[in-house]
Amino acid sequence: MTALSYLVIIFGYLALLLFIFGIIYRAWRWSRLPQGFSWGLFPKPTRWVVTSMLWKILAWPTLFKADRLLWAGALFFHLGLLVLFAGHLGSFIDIASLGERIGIPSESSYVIGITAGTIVAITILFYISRRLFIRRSSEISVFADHFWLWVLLVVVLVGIYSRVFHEVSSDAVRDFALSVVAFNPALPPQNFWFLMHVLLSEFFIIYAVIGKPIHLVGQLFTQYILVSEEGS
Amino acid sequence: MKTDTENQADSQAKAVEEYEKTLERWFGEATKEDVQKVIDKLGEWEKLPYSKLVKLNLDLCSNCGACADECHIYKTLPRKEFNPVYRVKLLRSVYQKYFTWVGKVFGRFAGARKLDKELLKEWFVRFYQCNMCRRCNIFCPFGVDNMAIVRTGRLLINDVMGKTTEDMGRGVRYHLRDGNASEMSEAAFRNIVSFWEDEIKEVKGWDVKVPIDVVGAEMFLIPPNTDYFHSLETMEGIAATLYAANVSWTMSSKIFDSVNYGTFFNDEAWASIITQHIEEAKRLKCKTLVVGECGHATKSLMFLGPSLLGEFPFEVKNILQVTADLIQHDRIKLNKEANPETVTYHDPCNVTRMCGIMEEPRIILRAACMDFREMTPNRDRNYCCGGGGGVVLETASHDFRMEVTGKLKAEQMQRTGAKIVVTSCANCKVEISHLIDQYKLDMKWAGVHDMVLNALEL
Repeated sequence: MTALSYLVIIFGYLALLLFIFGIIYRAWRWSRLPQGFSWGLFPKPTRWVVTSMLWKILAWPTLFKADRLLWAGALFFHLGLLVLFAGHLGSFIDIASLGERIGIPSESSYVIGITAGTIVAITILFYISRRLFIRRSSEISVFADHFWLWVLLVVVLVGIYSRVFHEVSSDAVRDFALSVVAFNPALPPQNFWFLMHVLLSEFFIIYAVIGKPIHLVGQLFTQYILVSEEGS
Repeated sequence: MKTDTENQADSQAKAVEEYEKTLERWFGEATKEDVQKVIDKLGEWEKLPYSKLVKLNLDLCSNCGACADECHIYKTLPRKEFNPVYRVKLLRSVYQKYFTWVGKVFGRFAGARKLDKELLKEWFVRFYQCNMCRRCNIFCPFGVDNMAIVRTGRLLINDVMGKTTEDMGRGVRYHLRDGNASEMSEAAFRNIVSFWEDEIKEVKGWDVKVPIDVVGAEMFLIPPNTDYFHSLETMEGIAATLYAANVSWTMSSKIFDSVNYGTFFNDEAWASIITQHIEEAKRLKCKTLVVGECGHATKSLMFLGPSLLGEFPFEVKNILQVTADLIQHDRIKLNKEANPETVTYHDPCNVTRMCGIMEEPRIILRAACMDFREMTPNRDRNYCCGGGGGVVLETASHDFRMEVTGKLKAEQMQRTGAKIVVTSCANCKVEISHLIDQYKLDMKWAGVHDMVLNALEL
């Protein structure tokens, strides 16, 4: 268990470092590339450039037109992730009292977390089945496309499992997380499933920076070029 | 006994195979040095004209395949190699292999591929099968753009090996030598101009004189070369319109061809040709350079030119914008009854999606025709005619265009029930005329200004 604990701590720092500097580096690389040819693609908004960009980034109207099922699946997936992300902030700050202030009782965090986790797991299965059974997607999928979906699925399932069957007190998690952030890492709660969940998440965070999840950031650049560039 | 569907599948497969063989023949064989040079060039992202979006595209495409069903080629023939993502991956796999550490470490597991002679040949074949219509971009949640990817691939091959497709390559050579892509002499130009004048006299009874080399005219008009031998009525309609509206305009006896095939595969040629256009416009001291009914030339002069060469000392417009403006300001009179038949409009990708000229042709056609009917889908969501990206320029691509890339357009045209399909791009006109013949459609094709010519009154 202790070896696992050390791995969690080491990869935790690595993930944090790569996540912050990796995203900055990639964004910097993209931003310094010359624009070259004007990328006119019409119709372009004549006003509300920022709003149209946000609309495209948050609501994916183009995907809605192309593939509604994928759009719906992706929407649930990302909303689920967003809820999980917010819930996991509880590892660092006391979100329970924050939630109560806006009318979410702290007891419901369990239900919300498990529901969001289940939704994400189901939508990952939907993604996987698309890659397996829908021809236009399966014929172009490579090992990496499947692999990371499975990794994320395992992260989520282990998370749900440890929450349901091996719950670690949120105070213990927060004590550990804050000690890591303070560069004075304490030993994490000694719970195998919890540690596996954290370690796999750390792997996924590292992948997120070098792999496809970077679209979260890259989107800003692409949509900015397409929406606002000279030529409108 | 084979069913119709089986027969159709057979002829599609044959058309694809034959054109692929032709493309492979045009490509020939790459050497090891060629392969290495392509890799080196790919590494110099900053120098590639579409660098920013292409790099973002390669980094962001998540292989979801949402674009596939929006591609008219894949929709017609759902083969893996026609999947737009497959085309992106041809370039991305190599990019990953040499320029990302994930690709370097995990290789094929991450989708990375070593570039070799065979893969380079496949690049050539696949990139010249794409119509570069950018419809996939419209539907991609990340804005991944096959046009940018394909052009980059074509450019890399052309820069290193000098290879492109046969007729397009010849067109560029002629253009650089003669100032036009079809070996037309000044005498031939003047002959055709007087033919236009005679025709207008015959049809309308007007003594129209096409102004040539008039320095200081307000508008300098350059039509595509097809208006000199394939769609003559279009240019007659334009000349008659400008005459009827009493516009100050001119053509040039030296630079009279708007096309710029460099747009499809080569930056240097593109820049040289566009410089010919710019220099002539400067010499003639025009206020507006007007591009005739030509899609890629409009894009090239309106957007690509200024973004790479700096702002021009004149404005660039497409003739559709000019005529729509004349109609809206009551400067020309049109009699709809001259065009009683049902008319539909094919939106050329370059005019519509890439230049945003969507309402102008509709303003013109509604004013000039009794019964204008939309094709579905239309405007920015239109399907390519099947000839885009320079594919229509190749005589050898005929069967491939008829059986695969243009099939959806033929069906779409037929569904409208219109008697005339109007469009505003020279390449689309050629492709649509072939489709009408091939599918024995009960309709004619025309340019927007062909309809204007019929309806125009003094």
